[in-house]
Amino acid sequence: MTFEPTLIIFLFLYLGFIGIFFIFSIIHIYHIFLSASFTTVSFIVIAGILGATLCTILITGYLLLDTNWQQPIFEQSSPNNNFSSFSS
Amino acid sequence: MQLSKLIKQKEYERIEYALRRHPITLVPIIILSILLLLIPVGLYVMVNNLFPELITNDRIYPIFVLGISTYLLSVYLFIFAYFIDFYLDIWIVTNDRIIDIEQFGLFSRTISELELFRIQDVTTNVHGFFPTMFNYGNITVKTASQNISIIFKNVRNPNFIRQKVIQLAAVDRKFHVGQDVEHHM
Repeated sequence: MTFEPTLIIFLFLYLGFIGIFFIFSIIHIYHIFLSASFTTVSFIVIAGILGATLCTILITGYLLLDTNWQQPIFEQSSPNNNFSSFSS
Repeated sequence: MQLSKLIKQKEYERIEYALRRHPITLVPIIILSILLLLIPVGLYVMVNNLFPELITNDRIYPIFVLGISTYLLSVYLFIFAYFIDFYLDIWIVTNDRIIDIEQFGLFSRTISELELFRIQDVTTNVHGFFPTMFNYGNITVKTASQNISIIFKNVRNPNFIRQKVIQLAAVDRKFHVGQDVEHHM
């Protein structure tokens, strides 16, 4: 039995990155509160960044709605050619 | 949290000014951010014209979309981090002291302060076209000691603030007659 990498690996990597993104965002927001800098300006910036983030994630999800995540990354069209996957 | 708690405001103390950098100093990073955000658009147009089969390939398309999305989120994070670095630098002038709070990156911050009655020299530096046009610049506040100084970076109305700091220092000196101005905190 051989391991065949599928597209879902990229999805998990992306989800991991989103996790890191939110951890850093929370640290940023925590800094703003900790340093008594929660003002109208900082509120607008936080809302703008989180809004743009939400839009980006939603659009990404919409664009990838019909993706079959179980298909292998490398198409094995012939036993001797494992790297022909990137030709459709 | 409020500024008064942050600086552990004394009973007789009142905050005169809470200064940040002039917003105009953010313009270069705003332009850079717009350019960075436009890169995926240019990349999409280029790939769509030169390699249209990549966009229609059902294996490469998801990777392409996830890559662009990751890139955009990274740019947002960069903008957020820069804003934090910009906005969390505060110089607070009270009727008793000056407090300098500077944020360096995400996990580094320095807070220093000096008492007004120890101030011996306040210098402003408005240097360049934009600082002159938009009236912002640096203010260097020095004490009698050679190694203690605070620099207000790119704050609005530096000359006005300089005069006010000198006035506040003169008033504060009356409450500290006989105290050694060279004695460090």
